[in-house]
Amino acid sequence: MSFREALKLSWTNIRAHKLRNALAVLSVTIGIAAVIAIVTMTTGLQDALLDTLTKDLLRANMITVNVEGSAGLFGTAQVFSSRDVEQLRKIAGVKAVDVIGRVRGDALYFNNRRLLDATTRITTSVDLIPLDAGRAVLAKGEIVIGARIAEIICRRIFAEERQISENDEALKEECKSPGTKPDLTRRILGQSLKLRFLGTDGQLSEDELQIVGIVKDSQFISGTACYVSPAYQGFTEIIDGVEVPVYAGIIVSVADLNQLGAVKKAVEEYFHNPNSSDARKLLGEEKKIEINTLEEIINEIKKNFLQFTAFLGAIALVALLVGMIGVMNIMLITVKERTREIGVMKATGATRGAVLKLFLTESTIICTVGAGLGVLFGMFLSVWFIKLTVALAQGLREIPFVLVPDWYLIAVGTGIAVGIASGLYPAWQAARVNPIEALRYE
Amino acid sequence: MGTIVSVQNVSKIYQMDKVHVVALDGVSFSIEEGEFVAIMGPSGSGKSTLMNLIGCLDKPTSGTISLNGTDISRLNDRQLARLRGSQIGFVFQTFNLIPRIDALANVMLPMTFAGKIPPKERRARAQQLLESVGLGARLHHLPSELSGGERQRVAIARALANDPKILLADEPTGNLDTKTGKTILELFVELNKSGRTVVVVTHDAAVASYARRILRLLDGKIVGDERL
Repeated sequence: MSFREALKLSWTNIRAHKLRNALAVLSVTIGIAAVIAIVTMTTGLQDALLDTLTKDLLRANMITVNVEGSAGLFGTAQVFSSRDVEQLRKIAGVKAVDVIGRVRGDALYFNNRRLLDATTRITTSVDLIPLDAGRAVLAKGEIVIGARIAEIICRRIFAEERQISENDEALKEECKSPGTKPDLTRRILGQSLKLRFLGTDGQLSEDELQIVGIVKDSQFISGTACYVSPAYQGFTEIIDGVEVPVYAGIIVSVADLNQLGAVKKAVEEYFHNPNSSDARKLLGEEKKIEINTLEEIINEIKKNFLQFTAFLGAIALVALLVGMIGVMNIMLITVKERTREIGVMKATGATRGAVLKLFLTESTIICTVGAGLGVLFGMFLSVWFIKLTVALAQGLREIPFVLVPDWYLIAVGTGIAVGIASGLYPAWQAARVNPIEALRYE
Repeated sequence: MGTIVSVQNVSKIYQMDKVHVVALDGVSFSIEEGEFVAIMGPSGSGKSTLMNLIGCLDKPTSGTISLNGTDISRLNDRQLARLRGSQIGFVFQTFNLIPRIDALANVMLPMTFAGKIPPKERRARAQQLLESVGLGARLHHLPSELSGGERQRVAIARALANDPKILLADEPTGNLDTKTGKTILELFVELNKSGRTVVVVTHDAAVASYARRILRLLDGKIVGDERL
């Protein structure tokens, strides 16, 4: 008996007991749907969390490169050249590369009063610094200011206008996180700052800068750092007879968090090679270059989510087990009911194998259909759960609906396996039916 | 014509709890190709046991049964099933059709199990068989939509599916009225005339009268072997 013939015959048998088999299918559907819903939901939650971490909080998609033992900004080792930056940009999976570098001898002034806390850094990328308002630095003469500096500027503007103290408590409160308040943002953006700095020639220069953006107010990001174009860069080194700008460190961001490890490896290789990297040439062999990521934190989060998924999945598996027992039960009843038919089939030449195949096919059809419906139903359930969760926890950001194709395949595979597992014993019972007794069976 | 069934000194003993039940006790006979044999006897005479043995559904406790020269006691389960499928056509008292599939599919089923007839020819052959038993207009009827006589005709067509050497019928008219039973028996006669070996197991002398040879069984022994 071919597989197709068995399939056709089994399908006829299934259709003969529509309600009973529909319920058996449903029991598998519920089990699979529970697993799929949980996996889809937790994957969505994980992505939402990683997304937050990537964009706002930890900037987890970044790789920082600096010289070992150097604080990065104030250390003497300014060894990463603009050529290094260009080379790193070429690595596959890299989204952006920025420098860690301070303007040499910097001092910032607002209305001719120095902003004492402010530090001025160089930025070469438009998408690495998260902003609350405005835009990134695109050209010379522009500056993006830190959230704390924006607060100070805000207080100075209003103190002057209202003739009150800058340290007025109400004013302090009013000027908190100005980047998130459009009316304050309007007043700050477009203001002029004066930057005094030492150029590459060692001469003190001055320039007027227009505020174009305010850095996101976050515990994880410096509120006093302001960013300007590399035009104000003052540190240079002569490498291979050419004078090139150098910086204290480099930040590489990756497009996809999953590629973090691979990109990190490529960056390590780049700095390992003394012929390719300027930094290595300047440092010589003895000093190490540190390449750090938050990979471990991300991995820890993923691991925790996996445990979470596995735990919930195990509960869902119980539902699947119940479904499996349901199918087994139905199959046992079916075998009992069809004992006489089995006798007839055997008398007309069916081997044990053929009988086994017939009943196994039947349970496998039930479970495969159940699994297929379970995947669809599970996806539907998870969309619904996500909506419910977001609605219940007000202010929670949107949880994305993430497709997990691997799990759909696993689910259908499990369905088939469950079908075989639940059908095995009943089919074996059917196969060993004694035809003489079966033909006498009423 | 050769010997198709050879039964030599066959005994069948059932072990029931602590009692031995001797169903067949040293039975010997043979059936030649093309014969129409009725095995007669009252209930408990061992005729059903004998039919199960000839039909390869069971093996003897002692003695040998050869079917078309093959000693069935040497065969395993799978080989027995294959032999049944290709050499024996069963006709039962209660028809035993599969209720969920139509007449045509019922006739095709043994072909599916045996795999002897190529899949593409099965449908045409089943249709032809049903036509030959006078059911050309009932191909797509479910068993429940057919009369008793019609069901038995479907069962006979099914028995012929794999072109078996022997047609083995167990009280084929037991569930039919006299008139319908007669037409079924006439069908057997016709099939026998065209060369098919027919063995009918019955307790009914009227049924046995259609055969050309009657084997009488009593208490597990052959007590008569008449040719008509």
